[in-house]
Amino acid sequence: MTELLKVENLQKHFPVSSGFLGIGKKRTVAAVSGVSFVIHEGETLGIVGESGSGKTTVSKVVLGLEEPTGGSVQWQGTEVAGESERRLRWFRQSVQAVFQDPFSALSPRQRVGDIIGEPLLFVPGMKKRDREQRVEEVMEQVGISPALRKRFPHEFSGGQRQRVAIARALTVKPKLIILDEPVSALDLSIRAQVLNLLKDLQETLGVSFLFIAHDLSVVEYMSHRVAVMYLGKIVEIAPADELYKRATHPYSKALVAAIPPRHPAEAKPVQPLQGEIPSPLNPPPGCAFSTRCPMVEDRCRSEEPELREVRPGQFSACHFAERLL
Amino acid sequence: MMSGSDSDVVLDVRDLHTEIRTASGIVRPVSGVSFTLERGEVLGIVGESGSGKSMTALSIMRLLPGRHVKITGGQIVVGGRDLVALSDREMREVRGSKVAMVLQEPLTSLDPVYSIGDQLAEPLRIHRKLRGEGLKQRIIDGLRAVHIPDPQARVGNYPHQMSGGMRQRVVTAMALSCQPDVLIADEPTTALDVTIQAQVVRLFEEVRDQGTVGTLLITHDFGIVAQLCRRVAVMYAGRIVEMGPVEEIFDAPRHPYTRALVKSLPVMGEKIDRLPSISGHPPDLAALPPGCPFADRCPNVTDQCREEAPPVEGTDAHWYRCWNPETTGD
Repeated sequence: MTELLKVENLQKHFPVSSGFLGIGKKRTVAAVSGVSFVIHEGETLGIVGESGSGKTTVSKVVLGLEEPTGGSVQWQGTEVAGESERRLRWFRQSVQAVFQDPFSALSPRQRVGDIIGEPLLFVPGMKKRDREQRVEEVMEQVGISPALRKRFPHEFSGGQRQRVAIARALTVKPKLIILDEPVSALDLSIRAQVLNLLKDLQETLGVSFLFIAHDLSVVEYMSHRVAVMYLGKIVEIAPADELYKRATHPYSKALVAAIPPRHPAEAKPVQPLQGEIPSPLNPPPGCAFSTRCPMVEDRCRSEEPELREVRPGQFSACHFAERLL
Repeated sequence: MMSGSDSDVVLDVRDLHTEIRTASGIVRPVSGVSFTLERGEVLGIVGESGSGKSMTALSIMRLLPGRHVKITGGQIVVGGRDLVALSDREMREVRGSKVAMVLQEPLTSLDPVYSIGDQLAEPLRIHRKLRGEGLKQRIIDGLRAVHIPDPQARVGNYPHQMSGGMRQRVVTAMALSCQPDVLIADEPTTALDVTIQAQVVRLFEEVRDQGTVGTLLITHDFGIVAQLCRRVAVMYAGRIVEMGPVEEIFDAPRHPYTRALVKSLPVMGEKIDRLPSISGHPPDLAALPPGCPFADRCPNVTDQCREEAPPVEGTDAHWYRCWNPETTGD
């Protein structure tokens, strides 16, 4: 498999001002600290994590919407992090995004045909007729009749709007689409439709996905590999079914255990993880998960574990990952 | 703490109708909803947005948003009294004391300018006439019951000083403070992170197992239903389309909508290529077809479904509204 995107030791710090009117000590918060992963052609990499884990920040840096504080983002071997807007135009056509809320992602005053065709306005030398033809083509691909291209977003249901957003991402024939919680705002009966559409598109177009979500069962269904993030770091990365069967980080294990049962016969008393995700302003020393970890030892509170391969293809950032094998 | 009533039904909703007057006509978000809730049980109401599940909850609380939204028929019986017939003043005595509610977003149900102790004190002062040390003790006990660490110190905290999971506990403590008979929880875990969600589910398990309150759990999450509920009602377009014991709803659903919903959920550890999906989208409540509201999306649809509303079939324990139900031997 060809490597499309390679992210290495990515860092993103945001400045925060403390005190009245921002007077006082300037501090930084590390939203992402040392994240590395690759995405291959035709592959879906899932990222799961709770709020504050840094998963959305990762996607913004990859999209070029945020500049990284450190580390590198390589697209097919070429460094794209920190490059100028002009030089990145080719890259922008290779990577597109679909966000959570299809209600705020589409301009209410534009007709959906124009919304879908907008990215093509930036393709040099493209004729209007070609543009219109491409819009009709992608509308067919996402299952919306091209006859509806003159309609406005408010005339569509939530599921259809998300299809419009997906169509817009597809127009420039990207190689990678970043999907940030693409179904969490959708109704239950609509989710399966949209997830299946995404799988169909991947099969026919060979496009790769970076699929970000908090719902582990949805991520597992969609992804080939899954990265679990906690407090700005990847704590485990593994093939999707391995993660479910044999998580090798206590946090991933807790996430899997926290998924509600799929059947009442499987309901057992919940053993929830105690406490909450620490503030990234004040991360604990050593392992970030040590404050909530059921198998914590002294070493965890002083020495930060590295992400290392514990089984073929499965990486864990836990000193005691072997105990979970 | 069993009550002295002859049965343990704490809430009896009979043929409830709620209407919204809009510029484009009358919309019926609750259209003939009936169910009973027993003490010590968690009854799940599952539905998508627009199914009427939240409107049912707000109707029971008599907290309908605005004068254009009205209960137009039916009864809501709590402790032998019909809440629909109560005056606003009488209803205020019931709300919080007999029937209490927990909402989805805990930040909006707490007042940012009062400490949580003050906010917990309000219902106890009004409904239980508690003052001074007795009041303080009850507040601290209430916080301890929902596992707020160090409750003596936490009573002085303001909502913004607490995390989302903690706030949801405070809101739950507030709802339970006057020992109501009925607790309505509207999507109590939806806004929370996965591990915090598990903590709140655990809390509701404890509330259930104490056996003093009947909980009406409104959710779109079948997993939470499987974890907490004994019985479940599935709502679609303002009506309950199927209701029954939770195992039967999962294993042998009779309504095609229930069956499709249960089947469309991705399951961890189960490799399937494509999820079975439901075509189309939920109907517009302002323009409902004359027959079954699910007809346009239903795989079993016949002409009869489009013309005539389906009757209630099945048993008292497990009933459904469908002309062409799924067979049980599936």
